[in-house]
Amino acid sequence: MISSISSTIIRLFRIKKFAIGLLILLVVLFIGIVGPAIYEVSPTRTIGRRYVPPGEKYPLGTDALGRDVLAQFLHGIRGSLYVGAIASAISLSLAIFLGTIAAVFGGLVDKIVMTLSEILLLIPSILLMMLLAAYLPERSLWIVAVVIGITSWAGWCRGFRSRTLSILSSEFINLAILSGASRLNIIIRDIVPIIAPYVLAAFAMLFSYSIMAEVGLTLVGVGMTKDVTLGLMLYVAQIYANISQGIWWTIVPPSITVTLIFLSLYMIATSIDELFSYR
Amino acid sequence: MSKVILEVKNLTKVYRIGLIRQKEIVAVNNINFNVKEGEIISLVGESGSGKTTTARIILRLLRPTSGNVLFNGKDIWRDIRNRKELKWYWRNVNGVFQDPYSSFNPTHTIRFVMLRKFNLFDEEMDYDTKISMIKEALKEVGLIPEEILDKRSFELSGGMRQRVLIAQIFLIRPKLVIADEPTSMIDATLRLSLLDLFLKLRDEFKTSQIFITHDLGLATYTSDRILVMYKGKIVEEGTPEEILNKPSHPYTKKLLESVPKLYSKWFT
Repeated sequence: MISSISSTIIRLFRIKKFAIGLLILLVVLFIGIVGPAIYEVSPTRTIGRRYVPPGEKYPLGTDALGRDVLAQFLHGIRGSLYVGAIASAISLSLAIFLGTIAAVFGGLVDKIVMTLSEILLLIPSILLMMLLAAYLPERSLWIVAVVIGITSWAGWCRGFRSRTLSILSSEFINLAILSGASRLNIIIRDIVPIIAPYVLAAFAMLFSYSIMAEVGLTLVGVGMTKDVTLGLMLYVAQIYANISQGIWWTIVPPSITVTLIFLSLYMIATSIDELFSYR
Repeated sequence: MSKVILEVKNLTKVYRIGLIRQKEIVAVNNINFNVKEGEIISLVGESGSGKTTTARIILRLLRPTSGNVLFNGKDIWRDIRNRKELKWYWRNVNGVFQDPYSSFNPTHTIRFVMLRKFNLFDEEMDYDTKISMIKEALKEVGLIPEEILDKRSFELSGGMRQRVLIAQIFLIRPKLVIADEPTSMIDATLRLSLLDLFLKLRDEFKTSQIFITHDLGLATYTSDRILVMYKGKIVEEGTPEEILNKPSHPYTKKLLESVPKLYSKWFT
């Protein structure tokens, strides 16, 4: 057990793409976790003139409202990672739970889950999120994460369902039934261990998707109203037309970071997928 | 005469495919037979003749379209309702499948696979008793328990896997074993020793067996009675001698002709 896991991990690290992706992610995570603790400037208070270029006093300058961009950036990374983790955890657990249940129980359960996921897939999820988010009076980081989480499980749910169906056709499922194992026991002991690598890949993909979705929601104006995220920074920069004014320091750091997070998670997800689909 | 433990009455299974223009495939067509205590019967037939479907229905993995399967006088679909009765049924009727490679979950150790069978037992046992029973069952089929207990199926050879499957049968000691082509994916040299395990099962525990195969030669080696299935129907029934000497149905004759004539060609 332990030896096979460790050999898998060693093989995983031999894939360059994975190592680079993990390194980028760890650096971003480190900045997000440690950064706000070291650089103790409030990201939401006006501390100086607007649009001060990067200099000694403000390492990344100030934005349209005279707030410190570096503080916003550090807190923004943290906020975005929060949103990503919460949203992807919610949608991933929904996807695994509903996907396996639909496949194992079949019949009416399957029909209900599949219809629900079809509805979610047919309506553009950004539209759903906008409707949900606009309906809520106060939007904290948590609420936005939950909104993203419950609207983005459909695709992976179908994936897990079909993977489960193919596992269910194996002979060992019949033998498990003949051993008196219940359906829940079969899901937990037979199916989940086999789809675990896909869960990792799905988590990485959903994580990056959630971060991007939050940026998108904030950019159209129905995102966070309280906390700072990278999306909010971009939103503020965009409504004050910083791009056309050449105020690069409010735009470049968050966009690069969002791209890096997405890229690193994508690299991790595809290399995990590559490793396990070789066999 | 010993008593009948399993009765199959007018069993039919129809698969429907297609949504608008439905097509019906009759996999099993109105078959009747019974199994007596301690008896080994063989279901012989080509692929697609409905042998495996019959096995799955008897193992209660598949619901028949019509007809009944009675075990000790109980209808397995109508009289068995709750989990307790289901476990009782599988405690008494269990199976070995054709493919030892897909019969194991690659993430499970042999220990887990064997321990899982204790689900079927009513009596409470502590871990040590279970393990010693497992070891005994593994020894019975000629495996060394200490070597394989913590291995996963992909670390074992095909023959060893099939032996582990048979060890599960030795562990639960059912009244009836349904063996669905247990030797078809095993090297020819190992076949006989596996068949002897099934005979040992019968001699030691008086286990009845339904032996499913496409090979008439294997069927004659073990069985007391042979049923020949063709296109979902039982076309012929009799002792091995009767089938070999006086085949009446054209399909049985063809089957007999197709037993390899290796020796006669080369050595005479």
